[in-house]
Amino acid sequence: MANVPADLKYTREHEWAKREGDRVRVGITAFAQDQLGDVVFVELPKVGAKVTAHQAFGVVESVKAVSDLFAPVSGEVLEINAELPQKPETVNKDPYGKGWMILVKPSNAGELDQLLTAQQYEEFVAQGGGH
Amino acid sequence: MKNWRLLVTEPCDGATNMAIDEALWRGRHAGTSPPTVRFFAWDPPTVSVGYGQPLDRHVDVAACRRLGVGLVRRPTGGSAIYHDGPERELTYCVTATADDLGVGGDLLETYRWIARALVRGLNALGARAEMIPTGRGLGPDPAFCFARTGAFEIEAGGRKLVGSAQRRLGTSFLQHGAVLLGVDATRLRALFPTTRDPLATLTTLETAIGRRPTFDEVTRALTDAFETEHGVTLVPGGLSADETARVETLVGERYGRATFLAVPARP
Repeated sequence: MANVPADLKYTREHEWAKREGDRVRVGITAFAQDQLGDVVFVELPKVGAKVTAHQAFGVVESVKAVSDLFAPVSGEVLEINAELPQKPETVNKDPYGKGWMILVKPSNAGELDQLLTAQQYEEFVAQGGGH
Repeated sequence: MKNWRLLVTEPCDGATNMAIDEALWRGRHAGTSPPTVRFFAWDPPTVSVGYGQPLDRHVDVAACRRLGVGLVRRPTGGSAIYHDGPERELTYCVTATADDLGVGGDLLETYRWIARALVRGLNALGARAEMIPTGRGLGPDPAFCFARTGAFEIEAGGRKLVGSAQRRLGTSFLQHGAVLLGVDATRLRALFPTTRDPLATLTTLETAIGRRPTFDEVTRALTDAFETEHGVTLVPGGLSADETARVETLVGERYGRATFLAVPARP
């Protein structure tokens, strides 16, 4: 099983969410980037945009496919990783670190608790819940 | 036997064609549209560029305008393709979920599932086509789709015969691809001026089987192949009212807009 940090929450669409005080940082999992292969293009929302849980907030394109990115929580985008459009390969190299995508101020903190735990996400992937 | 929809549409312009594909996929994702195999052609002939592909010097936009060739940005990734009319090209589109295919969610398994049917159909026409499991010529994206064969894409005689691309949302996906019946070499060189020799890496059904099959003939062969290879029944159908409305919205707000063509829109 690929790397699944225990302190993060996960979606069934293979995004991770990390609580940082009253904010939530979002990216895609190591499994997702491995499935996609080399990422060649990343499209992110603007700072200030509103994102909605379980709806698309951006797009990632790899040599294999274009994939919509799902927001794990609803809220306002406070920061985006402005480096990614110029260096999309960072998503492959460091999906949980420098490959983060957006920082959100959640409008409903309870949504974070509804996401999968690391163990649940590992089980989901092991059962074939692939990308 | 599972029932899928078979959709064969009249040749359309690029914006309408891409809007139909996306509407089928969005509908499948929402559970309101059935899994669908679509075959279609382009009128006028059109260059489609990948979702994130810059519209730059690698595609001669002025030549497109001069030659009456349309331009559209696809919902899927990859490089530019010239879609000639139905006498030289057939485009297929599959919109489904991983469950519809009975495969796991592994990305490449969906490519493989579709490629198996395509290879069967092309070989029924006599093409000696084969699936390339690992891809060839990997590296930076070329500007021209047929310059590189990706994983589970299809070659005949060591050259690319079908160029495919995919869009995903969770486990639902849209995959479409161009099957070359023939090629207009002069036009390819005019449209892709920076591609040294567009013919060097591609082949056509005309070359592979020694004659150029018709659009209808290839449609029949591929339809039979999907049914036989995967035990599904393709039931001829049309667009639903919801899908038609979504197509109109997508043309107006996305695929028909010059701003979307120039740079990708935000979702």
